Amino acid sequence: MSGWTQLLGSLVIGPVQFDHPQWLLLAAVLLPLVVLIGRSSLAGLEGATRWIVFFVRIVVVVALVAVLGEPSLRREAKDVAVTAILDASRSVPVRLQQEVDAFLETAMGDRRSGDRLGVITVAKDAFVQNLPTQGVRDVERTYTGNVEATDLANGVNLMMATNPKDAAARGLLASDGNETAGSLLQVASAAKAAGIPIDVLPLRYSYDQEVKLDRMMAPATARQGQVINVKVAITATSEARGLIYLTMNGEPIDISPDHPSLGSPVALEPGQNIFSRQVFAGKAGPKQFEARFEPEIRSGRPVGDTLIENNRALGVTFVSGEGKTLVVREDPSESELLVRELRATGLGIEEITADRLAGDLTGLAGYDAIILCNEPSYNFSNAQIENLKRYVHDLGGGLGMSGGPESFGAGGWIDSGIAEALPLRLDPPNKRQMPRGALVMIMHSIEMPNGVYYGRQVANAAVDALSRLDLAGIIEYNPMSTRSDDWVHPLGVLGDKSSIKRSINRLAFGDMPSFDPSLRKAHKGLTSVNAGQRHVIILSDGDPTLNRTIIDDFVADNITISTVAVSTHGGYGLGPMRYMADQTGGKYYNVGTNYADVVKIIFKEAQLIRRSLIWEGPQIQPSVIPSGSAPMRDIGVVPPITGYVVAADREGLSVVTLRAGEENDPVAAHWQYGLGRVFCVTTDATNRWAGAWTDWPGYRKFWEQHTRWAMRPSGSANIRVITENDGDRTLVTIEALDGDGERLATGAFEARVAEPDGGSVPLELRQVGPGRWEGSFRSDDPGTYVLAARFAAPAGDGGEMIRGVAQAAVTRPFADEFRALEDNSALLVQVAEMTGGRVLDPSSPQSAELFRREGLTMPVATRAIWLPLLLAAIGLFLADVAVRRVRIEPAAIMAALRRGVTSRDETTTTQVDALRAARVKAKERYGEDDRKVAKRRFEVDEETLAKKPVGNVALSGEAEKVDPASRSRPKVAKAESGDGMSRLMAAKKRAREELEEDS
Amino acid sequence: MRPDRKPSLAVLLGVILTLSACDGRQSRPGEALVAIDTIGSVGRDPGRFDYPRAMDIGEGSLWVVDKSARVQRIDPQTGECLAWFRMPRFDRGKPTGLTIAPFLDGSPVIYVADTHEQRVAVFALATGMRERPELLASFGGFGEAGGRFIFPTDVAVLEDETGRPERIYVSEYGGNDRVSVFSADVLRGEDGFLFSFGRNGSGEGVEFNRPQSLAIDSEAGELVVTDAANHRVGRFTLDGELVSWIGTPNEAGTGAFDYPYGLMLLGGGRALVSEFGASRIALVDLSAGEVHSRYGVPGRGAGELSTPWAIDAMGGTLFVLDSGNNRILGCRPEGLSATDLAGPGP
Repeated sequence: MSGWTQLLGSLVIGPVQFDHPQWLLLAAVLLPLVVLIGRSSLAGLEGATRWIVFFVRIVVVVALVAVLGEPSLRREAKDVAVTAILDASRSVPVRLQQEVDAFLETAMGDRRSGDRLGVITVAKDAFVQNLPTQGVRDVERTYTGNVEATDLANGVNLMMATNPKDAAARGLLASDGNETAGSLLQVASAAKAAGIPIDVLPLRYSYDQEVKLDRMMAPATARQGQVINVKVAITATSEARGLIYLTMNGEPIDISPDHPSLGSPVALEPGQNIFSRQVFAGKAGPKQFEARFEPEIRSGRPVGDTLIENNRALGVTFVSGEGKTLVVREDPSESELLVRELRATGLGIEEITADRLAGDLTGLAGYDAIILCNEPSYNFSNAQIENLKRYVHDLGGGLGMSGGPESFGAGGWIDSGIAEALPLRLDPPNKRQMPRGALVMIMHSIEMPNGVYYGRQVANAAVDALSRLDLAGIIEYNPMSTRSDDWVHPLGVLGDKSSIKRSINRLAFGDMPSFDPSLRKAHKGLTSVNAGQRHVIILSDGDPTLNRTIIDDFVADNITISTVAVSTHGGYGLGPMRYMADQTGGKYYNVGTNYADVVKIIFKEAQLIRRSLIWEGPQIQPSVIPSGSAPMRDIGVVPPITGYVVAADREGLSVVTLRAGEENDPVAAHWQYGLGRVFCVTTDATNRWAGAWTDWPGYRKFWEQHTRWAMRPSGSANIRVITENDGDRTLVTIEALDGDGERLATGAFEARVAEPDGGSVPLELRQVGPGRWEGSFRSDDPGTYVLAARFAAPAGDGGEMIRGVAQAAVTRPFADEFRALEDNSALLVQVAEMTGGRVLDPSSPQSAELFRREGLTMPVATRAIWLPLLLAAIGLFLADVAVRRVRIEPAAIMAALRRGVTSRDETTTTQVDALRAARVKAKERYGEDDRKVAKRRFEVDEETLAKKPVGNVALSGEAEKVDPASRSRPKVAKAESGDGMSRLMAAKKRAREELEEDS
Repeated sequence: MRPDRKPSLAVLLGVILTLSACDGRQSRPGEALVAIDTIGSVGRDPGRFDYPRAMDIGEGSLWVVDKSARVQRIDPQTGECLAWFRMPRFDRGKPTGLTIAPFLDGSPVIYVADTHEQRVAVFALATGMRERPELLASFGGFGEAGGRFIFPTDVAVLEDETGRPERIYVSEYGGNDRVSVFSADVLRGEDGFLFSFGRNGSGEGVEFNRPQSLAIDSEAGELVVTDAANHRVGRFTLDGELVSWIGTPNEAGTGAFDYPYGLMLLGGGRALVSEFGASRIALVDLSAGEVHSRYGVPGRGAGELSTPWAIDAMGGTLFVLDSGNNRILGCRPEGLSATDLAGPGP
């Protein structure tokens, strides 16, 4: 049957469409049968009845056949919806974007009533500026997102998704045709399949005076003290002059000592130019070079250059040398002893605060290990934390974390990006008994782009800082809720946090009129739970009103309130926010539009209630767990400690080497994470908790062995990495020599590439010859790609394995958005041809015919009508039966009706007249009024008589003739005492006598 | 007209009026409003709204300001936008109050409580699309001193017998929570500050917690104020003395009102109040201090309300600014006559 359906498709007859028209063929068989059968079976019927029955029967059969064909009523759309996709990327000059807006505003005038216009802007992402409606009269670009990329396919996809279903759709793509992501041609074929023609408005331009720095060529690796040759490839479209500047790790290099400025004057010829300089590499570590071209300015205008965004080139060289370890601490006293002891072992140590930690992988790659000493997570940006994790996992770096009151779970690292890299679980187990904190978050609207998303991120960050034993609740204003200021998540124990995270996803961030109801609820909730630290965080733009007397209750119950003012209205009217924090001992933050700070602040604030994760007390003796691992080699016992941060064992390959306390909590542990290694020591490295350790002879050994175990094997001077740009890919060649300078015959590489967007991919290296390996990776996004390859090769003399790490970095300095020097109208023309669209002339908006109907497939809405048709058929079938079974003679019916009406009227009149006459007669005889009579016997009143036919009422006259004095005489009683027949006969006799008397 | 027909015509008229009053298009207390008009929907093109927060009626039109900082003039019959302009500055926030009232020469102008710019801006009536009319006056500025504002919310203009402004009342919150009174001189660029009354609080005295709307009851010679976050409505003399409070500053929903935001006086000591928190309309007997009836239910459907910020009437129709649903609902609440809802006239 399905084959039939496909073969016939649907059949349209007038406004009706049959989805299974093959069933209609049944009519050809059934109708003759009906005729044949009807001729014999209906022979008994005569005249019109027969034809009526015949007709009804045919209609029933036709209707039933039609029902099987699944009929639908069709309604075809008449309107056209045009969605304009406007390229808002940086490659399109502002002047052209304004011309597009003007074009559209003129061209949109030519539309019929009901036609709709929508506007989408597209750059890196596509945004709907106006859904297709009749009301759009002008073009207004609001939020266009990141404009340093172009994904035209994204815009076309969004156009197809937002097209109304009840109008024919057209697309209008106004662009330069230069796309940096996605495939316009691919989605154009989807648009063609959907029957949506895309008209194109090519935005033509050409930079005839442009200089762009194509790439920098710097060696991937170099030796300490080596002179590096740095080359820059420059393309110029015309003659140009200017200065080239070069920096290394942000420091300017004087590459032209004879010139007064630090830059070197260059005269560029049209075409490719190569600029080359030799640079002293200096100490070990990554060297990031940046070359920048500044065009000569004449009469206030650059000569030979138009775009400045493509005047930069970057390159990285890893200079090998002895490994270094980085110690990060806020207070130098946290690491003073540790650093002194490590330096005494000959390790190279650098000390910095968290804010100076490199924000990119390249910067971290210069260290073999990084140790965080009593560092809270809020000292680091999300990017830093993420890069630390990637530094270990992808680059093979070592990470150590030592304890203190601001570290581990107490430092807000629970659920942080790096928590999964640690060999301990920072959240204490459920069975652990400890005081807990209670936190209430009051969330108000965040008036910023993606405010709801940001708000949820903030709430999640706060929850991430808490342990499963803590209590947390969230209050917000939701006008559509039964109680507008209410708990989104009631104050309760967090557990696995899944419940509160679901609540966070439901946050609506309503426009709260007043803080008061939320504060009352928070106060009531916090005073009804048993918690050590009770705290409120308010996130708001600061404009809800506040009744300040409410704050007195918080002060009385020792509940702190911290307020975070975000997206404030110019910083005005924040008095209430400041007041709440000042009065309760909380903190007031005004972050304005520095949204990135909000998460950090909330995290820090939430962490205030996390003090319960710290164990402090009299000295306890940690027990050493025998493991035979390198960090604890030859250490059989450690001195007692007076404090540590509570953590839990982690499943997997984590090795716990020290335990302490009644609960046998882990104090030291280590493991391998990705390419790198991580160790944790939950007590500190100072006199605070490890006072007995400072005089311990094993202190140096303990920390040195942990650090050296974690450190990445030093980059071997025998490894050379060469990278080469090959279009969208980077080719990697590694040359490896042994200590004698001989090429390694075999070796195993494990390599990963950390990408600029935060991800990482494994890199497959294939041996292509003795001591030579090759591979490649995709590198088409702007940013820095860092390659790390850990290798192991058997030594030629059969000794220990040769181990080491090779590193390299490849940088694409600017987005492809700025590479194009002219438009790519050819692509747009191809899209128009493919989809059946037109190429519009930007200079002729009047003749654009935006809402042109030619070539459009008008959408059709269908409504199934098989059920009403079936019911009608059933009704007709019943009518057919009725006509045949019940003989209906219209003439007879009419005659009967006439008779009935006439006789009833006459009878009624006669009866009433007789009654009235009898009543008059009775009055004359007895001289009594009706009321008196009614006292003696029942009598129907006049009105009832008039309404109700009473039959032959002349009989009543007999009673009225009776003398009142003898009313009770047994005359009637006697007669009535007889049987029915005798009473009837007597009555008949009396009636006859009365009639004779009357006459 | 023949005299003998008068009685029959009067009866006929009475029947028609009775029938019209009893038809199904009236909004009954406690039920969703029966919308006889729904104007606008969400959007930023003319005739649509992006969370509208203030509305007034003047010159036969509805004037609405929304969260895209656009002031639109809307034809109440067709729902079309007749004119619109964007506020000159809005990066710090958008206005929440708008009043059509006379300027110095008696002609109607737009008073905008430019909340987050801490000022009152007075514009000529808008006549074109996207064309900002002349800024006739601007006063205020951030501060706690007299004549300055933190978050101004509404403006009410007391007219003299010639229809020119005599006094200008401005409500505000954000710590100042008060009503400031200016003479008409402030419209001439002079320091017209006269006095202010009220302070932040919830006491029985002259204390406000977000006074959101103002209206001058010319019959009673009083100023009516919705004290939104105290969930009450206050009657004051024109010199700022408290006459009475209606409602108590309890938690939202337990008192007479639930965040009363919009206010419209009906005459005869009655007023309509739109309750932002409860998404409904209250008919209040100001003299008796009682809520007589409530109309509307919260929701997103036809006739349902979501956080109504403002309310006004014209031509026998009550217009509710249904902010959360980005629309204006026109309705006829049962118990209110066409005279009650006549509005200011063209």
